[in-house]
Amino acid sequence: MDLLHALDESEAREMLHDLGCTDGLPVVVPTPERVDEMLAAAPFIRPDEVIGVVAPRMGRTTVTDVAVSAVMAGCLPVHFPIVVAEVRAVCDPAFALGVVQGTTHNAAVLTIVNGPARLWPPALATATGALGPGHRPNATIGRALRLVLINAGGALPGAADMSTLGQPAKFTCCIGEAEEDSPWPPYSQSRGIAAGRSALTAIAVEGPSQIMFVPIGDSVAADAARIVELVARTIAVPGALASMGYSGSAAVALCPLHADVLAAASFDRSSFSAAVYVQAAHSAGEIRRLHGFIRGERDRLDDATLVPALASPEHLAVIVAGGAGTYSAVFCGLSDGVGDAVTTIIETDNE
Amino acid sequence: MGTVGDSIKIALLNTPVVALIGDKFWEQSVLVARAQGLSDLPRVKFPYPLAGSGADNLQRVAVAVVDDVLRSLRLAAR
Repeated sequence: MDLLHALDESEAREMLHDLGCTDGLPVVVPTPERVDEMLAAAPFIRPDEVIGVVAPRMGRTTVTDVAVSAVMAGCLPVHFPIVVAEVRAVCDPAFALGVVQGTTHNAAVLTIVNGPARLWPPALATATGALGPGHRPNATIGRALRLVLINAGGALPGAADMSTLGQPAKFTCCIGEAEEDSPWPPYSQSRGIAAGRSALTAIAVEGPSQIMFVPIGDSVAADAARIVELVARTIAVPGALASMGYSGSAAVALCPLHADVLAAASFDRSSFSAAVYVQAAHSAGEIRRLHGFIRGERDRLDDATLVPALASPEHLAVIVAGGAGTYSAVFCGLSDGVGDAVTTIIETDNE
Repeated sequence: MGTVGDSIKIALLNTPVVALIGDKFWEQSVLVARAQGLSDLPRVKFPYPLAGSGADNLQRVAVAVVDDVLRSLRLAAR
């Protein structure tokens, strides 16, 4: 790692912009002292450990490199282990980061934090406006990952990042699950993480599409069925990759009200995903009419054959998040094998 | 991105390969090929976009690049 020299903070910030090391917003200058302070917050992680190779530039990224991006993003040192977990997750070969970074799709990385790490003060936002402005942990933890993707992965627009339009979630997209407001066990447990452990899940997504639903109240089962259908139809929105045969992943953030309705109707996370999977589909004829082809079609499908938008029920990440209100949100994903959910432990000094 | 990655996989099997790259994606192809250790991966540039530009244009582009494609494949075969 090269050490740059500047006369003052202002000149250093401009230098980092000029070198293409930022996301376009002002950054905190990563002085050696600040980077050391970041590293000191996680003494149980070796600074020289190579966390992964960040595609497509294939930069070998050490813990210290990640600390530089965390400082630049404005992260508080207490959250540094979460940033490390983000980088570990996206560097997992199962995430296919090279494709996520280089695609013309607008893929951002949604990171979901579960367990006690959400509560390290200041706690991650999980409720009202959790994905919006004003929450420093969410804003900076997600931004730190983006800076790693830019600086180690080369993901600058027009160079490695060829997203046709991009999207705001590429700046930051990090949320904690509202475990305390959820009728179900934490999402991370459905990913095989033991209860009480902190974990992070990364999944490549489009921006969120809202689902507004006020329970009608005729019966809990009927309201739950409406939520299932609305989520399914939002995942299978025409024009999404998932709706032309790519059949990949998606995420849904259920507001506590919607989650409670589903739980009252005896849905758990698994049965909800299964129900959504069945309904999130388009007919082959409709896909052919709109797109001209069905991805992966070998033998011609009958027009009436339903093509699922999800690769499987397990390809739907279901979390509970958000505050009071009647809005949930769906995040469409990419194709099967690209940006699918990867979950990793967040290391702590108790490990 | 996928074009270059797939081409490199084929090249590593000692099979002659040439990647067809839209001109808007040329810079990305250079970066990816270099990062994956095959900066001399044979590539031929064509004007982007082809999709939806019609059969006549496809024919024109094919005629324009076919000699480069064949030359690259012959070089790769040596």
